[in-house]
Amino acid sequence: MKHRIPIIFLCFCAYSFAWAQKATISGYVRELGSQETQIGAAVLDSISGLGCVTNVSGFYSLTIPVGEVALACRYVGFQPAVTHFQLTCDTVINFYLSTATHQLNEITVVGNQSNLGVEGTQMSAIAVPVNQIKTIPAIAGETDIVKVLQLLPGVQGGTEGAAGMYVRGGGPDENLITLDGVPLYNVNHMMGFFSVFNADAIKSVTLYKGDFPARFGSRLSSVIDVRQNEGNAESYHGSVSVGLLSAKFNVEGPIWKGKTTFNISGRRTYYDLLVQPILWAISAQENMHMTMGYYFWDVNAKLTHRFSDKDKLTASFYMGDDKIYFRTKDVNEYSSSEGTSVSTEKMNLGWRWGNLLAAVNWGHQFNSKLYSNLNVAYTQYNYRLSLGIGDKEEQNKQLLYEDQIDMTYRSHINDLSASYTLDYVPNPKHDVQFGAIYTWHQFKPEVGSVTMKITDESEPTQTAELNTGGCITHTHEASIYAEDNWSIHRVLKLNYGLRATLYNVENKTYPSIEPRVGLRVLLRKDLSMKMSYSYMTQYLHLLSNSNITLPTDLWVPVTSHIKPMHSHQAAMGFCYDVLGQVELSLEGYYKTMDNQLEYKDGASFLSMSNSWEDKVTVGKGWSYGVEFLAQRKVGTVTGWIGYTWSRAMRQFDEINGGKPFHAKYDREHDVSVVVNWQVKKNIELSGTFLFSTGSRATLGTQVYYETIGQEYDLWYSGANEIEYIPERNNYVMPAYHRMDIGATFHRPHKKMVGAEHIFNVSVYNLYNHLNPFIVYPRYNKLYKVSLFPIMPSFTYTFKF
Amino acid sequence: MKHNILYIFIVFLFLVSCERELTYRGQETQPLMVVECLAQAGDTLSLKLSHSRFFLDSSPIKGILDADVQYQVNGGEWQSMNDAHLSDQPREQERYAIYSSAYVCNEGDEINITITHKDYPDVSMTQVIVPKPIFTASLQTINTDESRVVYHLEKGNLPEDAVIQVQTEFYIRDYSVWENDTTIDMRVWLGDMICYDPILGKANNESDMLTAGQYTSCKFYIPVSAINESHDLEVYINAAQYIADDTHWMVVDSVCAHGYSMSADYYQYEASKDAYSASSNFGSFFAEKVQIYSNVTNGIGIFGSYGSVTTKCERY
Repeated sequence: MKHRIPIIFLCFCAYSFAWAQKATISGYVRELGSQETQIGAAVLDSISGLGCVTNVSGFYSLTIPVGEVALACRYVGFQPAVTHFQLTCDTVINFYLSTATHQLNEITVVGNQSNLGVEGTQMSAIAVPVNQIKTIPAIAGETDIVKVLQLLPGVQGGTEGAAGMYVRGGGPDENLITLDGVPLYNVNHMMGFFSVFNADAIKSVTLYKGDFPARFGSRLSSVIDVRQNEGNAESYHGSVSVGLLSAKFNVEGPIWKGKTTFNISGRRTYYDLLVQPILWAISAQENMHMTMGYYFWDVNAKLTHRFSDKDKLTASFYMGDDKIYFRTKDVNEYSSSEGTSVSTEKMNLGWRWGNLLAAVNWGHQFNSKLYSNLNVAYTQYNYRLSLGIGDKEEQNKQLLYEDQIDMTYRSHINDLSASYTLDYVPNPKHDVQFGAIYTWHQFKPEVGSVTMKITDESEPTQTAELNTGGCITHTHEASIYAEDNWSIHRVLKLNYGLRATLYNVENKTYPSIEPRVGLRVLLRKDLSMKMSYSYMTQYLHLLSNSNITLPTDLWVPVTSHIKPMHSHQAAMGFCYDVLGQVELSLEGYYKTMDNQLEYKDGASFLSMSNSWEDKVTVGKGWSYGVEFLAQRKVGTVTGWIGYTWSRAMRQFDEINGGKPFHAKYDREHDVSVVVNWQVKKNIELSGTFLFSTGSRATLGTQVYYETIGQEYDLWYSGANEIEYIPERNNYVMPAYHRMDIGATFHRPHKKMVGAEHIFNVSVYNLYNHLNPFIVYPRYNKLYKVSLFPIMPSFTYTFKF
Repeated sequence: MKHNILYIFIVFLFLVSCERELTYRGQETQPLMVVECLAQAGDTLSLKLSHSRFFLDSSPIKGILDADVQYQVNGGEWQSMNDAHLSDQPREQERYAIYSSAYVCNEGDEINITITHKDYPDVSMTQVIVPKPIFTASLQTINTDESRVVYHLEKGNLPEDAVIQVQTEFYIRDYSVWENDTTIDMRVWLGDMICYDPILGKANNESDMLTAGQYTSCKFYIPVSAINESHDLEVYINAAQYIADDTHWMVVDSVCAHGYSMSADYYQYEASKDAYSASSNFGSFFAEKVQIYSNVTNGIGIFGSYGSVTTKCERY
């Protein structure tokens, strides 16, 4: 033992000496020109073989041995930057990357972030470059991030055109969709046919389907991390687009050059304006005034101020609204011996919903190894359905009679949150992230009111009012987390973390400890095996009646009766890099979910006689599947082929006789092909093909007469025709398949340097396959309704 | 004209939703026997028998006349139920056939029934005959627009999984004062017809819109498992005012109080029927489809049991 003590001491000294011979390189990765920070860029020293990745603020920290350094920085869509120098002490190096777009002979990297792929620990995650999203053909040429995510393996859409996402057998409420780190509740415009994300304002999109890092929580099935552009710090740029359905703009630039930037974008649909002349024509013919229409608008804005290289303040803002309206006014005038009488009938139907998000973030770099983010945010979602009906009778301009009935049904959610997160990189083997988050939720679901007002010439005005719902629920959610991305060995990497959450509602507190672990084993330089386990807890439910994601779907909290949802997800997969050209991944997963909510048989959000808690039942679910993805990341032809085989089941005591049944979005096979081809410097072609097993519907396969028409009266003479439903979601609709193509042409502006005209032509549903939206039986026949036939579209963009 | 064509084209392009007939690609499910049998202590055992048909098939549904229907009481010998023709219609046109026996059911009897027929899968079902409920009811007038019916329920020999249904049927008189004496046309919104359970400490409510001079009724279900040895239940009948500034005098002169004991199977059947009916009304597009409960193995329908007691009480 006496001999061992000096040896241990010497080892300790040697270890300390070794650390003393290291220095830290830190800095930011930005785009050349705009100085936009880049998230997930890889920084690698090719001599020591050590590297790291930039965080959400574009900051990196790399501690390596002093001496010769060959530091390279790579990021999707940019040319790599390399610098050689002699490292002697802690050094700050900021990278400014130039874009690689339109350089056919250069390597065009459009693939995954470097913490993914063969080398990275993270599995079940995909980053889709925004530039690629913009070229993928879409309905009416309206680029949509959620639609592109639906083309990835493991992600399924609800029904045709709908933006609802179902990830690995989970429901549409089990996706945490964040804009600059702040959750958005309803990401749909136009009943779910478009998402609220305006691609012009977006910098990055990352989808996590499993292997959730501990910094993410509150949802079971996926995290979609969307980040907005900060704005060009050097000069003013922007774009204006006009399509068949909407117009949009984007402007960015410096307010204080190099210090303060802004980025603002907005869009509005004008379908309501297009149909207006037709309505005028109908109104004139029918001698009544009628207006109807639908529109949505949204605005994204971000303001960034850099106090120094170590302090940055950003303010993010989003606001959007959808509105459907239908108004009629019928005025009839007639004469009699008593004079001129005028009768007026009015109806006003309105339905609007929208999100509001405001967030302030302060990023602070303590030193070359520690970076922090303080975030305060407010987010709101509300919808309102209203109907007003009125009659009025006048004689010789004297009021004889007037009645007015107004009905409204509304819900809203308010969230106020604060988070403080820290990113600590003590050495190249560890990347530690930890933080705390607090959110105050306010729910006000299912508020209904009916008011009646009657005015008669001989009576005083009489009013009556009936209110239902209106019960406000306040909840508190507090979480702390810590995670470490640990490079144990060149072959072995481990990401482990823990998240602890307390959720308080109605004087009841639900605690949750959520372990997360992911392991990467590098089998060969180009082949790795990955395994992960995630335990997730969710304190929110979305009550949804039908396959289509509607704004009326009700967000409700966990209560003292309704417990939080939990999920266990285990996944295993392989990742193979084929000659640096194509990345193949194969993953299998198994997931269990408990405390799932469903409407009871026959329940609907329209039945207002009961509270939502009386209309739902609690059960469990499980899903499993295999996902394959082949993604080409380099070259002029890029894209991916994805295939998913999966199963998603549910079991509720009060549904389907307690027997397991298929989830309504359970689709066995799902194939997607996405191709982008840069034909010339100024021409891009793109195409997508999608094939999947049809979605499920509940269909009565037998019909019979039920003759116990009155209780206890077996001999009742009447008979009711009843549908016999053997099982919920028993019918599989015909397979869904569709092909879309698009072409984008760039033409430089003759006078403005750097400006260009962009023409996009796309065809949705090229071979006009009428995919079923809903199916239903009628008169001994089965019918389907299809929404979107072949739809060509054209978009013009002027970019400067 | 060119503009109009353009507008029509645009509207067509974006709003078109075409309906087409769809070829059913699923497996054609086989017709099943449909059995309806409600047994009550003191009544003879009988049932209705028909069949279902595939939903795309337009052939008529008729009674199954030549089935072999067997029943067994308390594990005794199997006996046949005979085809009974009760109506005036030709038997071939009837939507169901009736099979009956001479056996008079007793409380607590466990009855098994099996039905076989060459064209349909064999079916079987079991039921225990529930006893009649034990209860008393009294009608009390609280004030000019509110009455109360107090039920006193007793558990008796009812099984734990049974349910008692209390149905309060009454005639309403409305003494609203209107200038033109249009009282009879006045509609009263019964906004607060509340059934309060003092023991469980919870209330259910129903509301109804009815014209004065009409009969109406309300029904509430009480699980037997929630009843201790005895149980009081209060049904409040309260006339909410249709127009806030008017005054209503609503008087309930008498009520018919019906008490039904229902077996668990029969209650589930009735509850699912109520949900089915509700989902077929307004908003059915959004409602989840309802599976009507059945305890008929390999078939459709219900073998239920019940007991009923009716009492009339006057106002005091």
